[in-house]
Amino acid sequence: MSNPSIGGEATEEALEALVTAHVDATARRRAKRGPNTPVWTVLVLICAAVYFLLPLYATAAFGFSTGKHFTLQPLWDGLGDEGFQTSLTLSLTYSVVTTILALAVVAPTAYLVELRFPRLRSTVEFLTILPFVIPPIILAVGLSSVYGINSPVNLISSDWAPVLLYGGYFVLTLPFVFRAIDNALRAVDVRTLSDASASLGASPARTFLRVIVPSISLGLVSGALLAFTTAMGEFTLAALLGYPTFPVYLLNVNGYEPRMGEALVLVSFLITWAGVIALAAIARRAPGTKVVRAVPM
Amino acid sequence: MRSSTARTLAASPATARRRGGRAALALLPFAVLITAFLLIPTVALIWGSFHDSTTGAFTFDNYAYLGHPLDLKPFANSLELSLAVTVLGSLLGLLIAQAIVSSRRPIIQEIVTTFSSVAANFAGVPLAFAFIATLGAQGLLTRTLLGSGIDLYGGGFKLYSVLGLTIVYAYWEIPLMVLVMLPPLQAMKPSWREAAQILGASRWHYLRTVAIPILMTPFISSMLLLYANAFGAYATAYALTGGFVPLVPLQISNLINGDVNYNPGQADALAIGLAVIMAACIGGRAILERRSSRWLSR
Repeated sequence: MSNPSIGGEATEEALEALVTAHVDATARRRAKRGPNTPVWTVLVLICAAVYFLLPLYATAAFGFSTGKHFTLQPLWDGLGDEGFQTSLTLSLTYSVVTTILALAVVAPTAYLVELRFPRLRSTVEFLTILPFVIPPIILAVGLSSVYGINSPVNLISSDWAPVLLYGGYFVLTLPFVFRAIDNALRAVDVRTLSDASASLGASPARTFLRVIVPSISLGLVSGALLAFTTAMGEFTLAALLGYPTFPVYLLNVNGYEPRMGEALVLVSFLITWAGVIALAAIARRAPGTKVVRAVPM
Repeated sequence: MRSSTARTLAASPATARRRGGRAALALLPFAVLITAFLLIPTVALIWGSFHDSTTGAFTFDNYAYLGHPLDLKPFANSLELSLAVTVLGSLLGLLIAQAIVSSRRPIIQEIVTTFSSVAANFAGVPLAFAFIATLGAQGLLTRTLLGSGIDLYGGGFKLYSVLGLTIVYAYWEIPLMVLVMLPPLQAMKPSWREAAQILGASRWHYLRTVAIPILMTPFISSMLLLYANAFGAYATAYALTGGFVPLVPLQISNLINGDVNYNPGQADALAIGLAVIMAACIGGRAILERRSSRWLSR
């Protein structure tokens, strides 16, 4: 807004405009800066920061010292430890396979439910929230009684043992993966896209892979990250069914090599952080992305 | 197959049915996985809870814990822990969420929500050891406080107690509350408060007649989520206590892993008890969400 001329013939109107402009500018400035941040919010956030950062600092202070001096030796010891390497490799393998399995099974299912079988929606949705009612500790009891050593279908001591954990992790990650993919599917017009693709002569499978998958890619990536971080950090099923994964190793190593253990706890933090921060970045591009796995762990 | 536009558009009922059949076939992997790893184990759990583990005979004995005060101790402990952490977590989480909204600084909101997502995902073994390094008998905070004359452990505090577990569980429950309460708090429009003020309402009056009624449903629903999350948590409690504090999840694992008190039938019955509590929380949330205030749907 141009400044009204000052001096000369200051008409009634010009004065009015001046006042309006001043009021506008003040209001705009206030809106831009916002009202002062209340003191109590600063206090609350500082207290929260202390509570949330102190355990991280204490872990680092313990894990990165000899008792007196700062050193990264426990970290190098940990990273070089054979148990660490095998358990991390095992966890990575389980997590990657779980992620692929979850995406490969849930994405077509969610797509077909949306497009072809809307009547199955309530059933599928019920099944996908069932793992909230059956947390890992209950699932572990159920799986060990059906596929454990005392069962006729003894998967645990067979060569098929990994399948049991893949299946268990598929169930555990199902709620998050389904929600992520389903939200993405509902944000695009699945029916129109599929009809258009079919009218151009594409088979249903081709339509799914070449049209639907690219248009829900953010949902797939966030589903993948949720599945991966869940499987990487999962302890309950692995421990109770007897798989020596990274979290299980972490628990054991803290018993006999505490400094090394705490240093590796930080490594485990970093893995979770990387996954969650990537999710947060996606959530900024695709609002509605869930960044939290609200299931008892 | 390629030049099938006309055929697709005018698909005969027979091809449509065949397509439907093939589409149903694509649902098969999902159905198989769910049946094998969720439904069958659940049914086995229910069946096992009504059968004696050694003889295989039908029995109600596995549920005998419901009638024994001593056997209900794990439930009492879990109840106390979950209640404490739910009250603590929901109030502090609400306070922090409101602090973010009131600060009106997008950068603060960005930092706090990102950190909350990290912390809310941060349960289990690593969290337990982070707290052992902080508040364990030799923890950093314990030693610092001891240096300034406050003897936590001499005063009876233990990290592997219900109080200790409450402090640890709060680490993921508070940020969870922040994340679930932030959207409803942000949906509260400043114009509502202004309208109330113009009509002469005091701050308290606005809270009592406008803010609290609108926020009550999402708040209670979030509390149920926190409660279920605390009640079913196993990894953190096990890593912290080694199974010594009798909580329901730890008791269940003792019954299927322990050498002395190995009794899968009782484990099944306890697991059913736990599942009923989880179902009540999840069901309660579903009901509340259905009648969630229309004021908050943007």
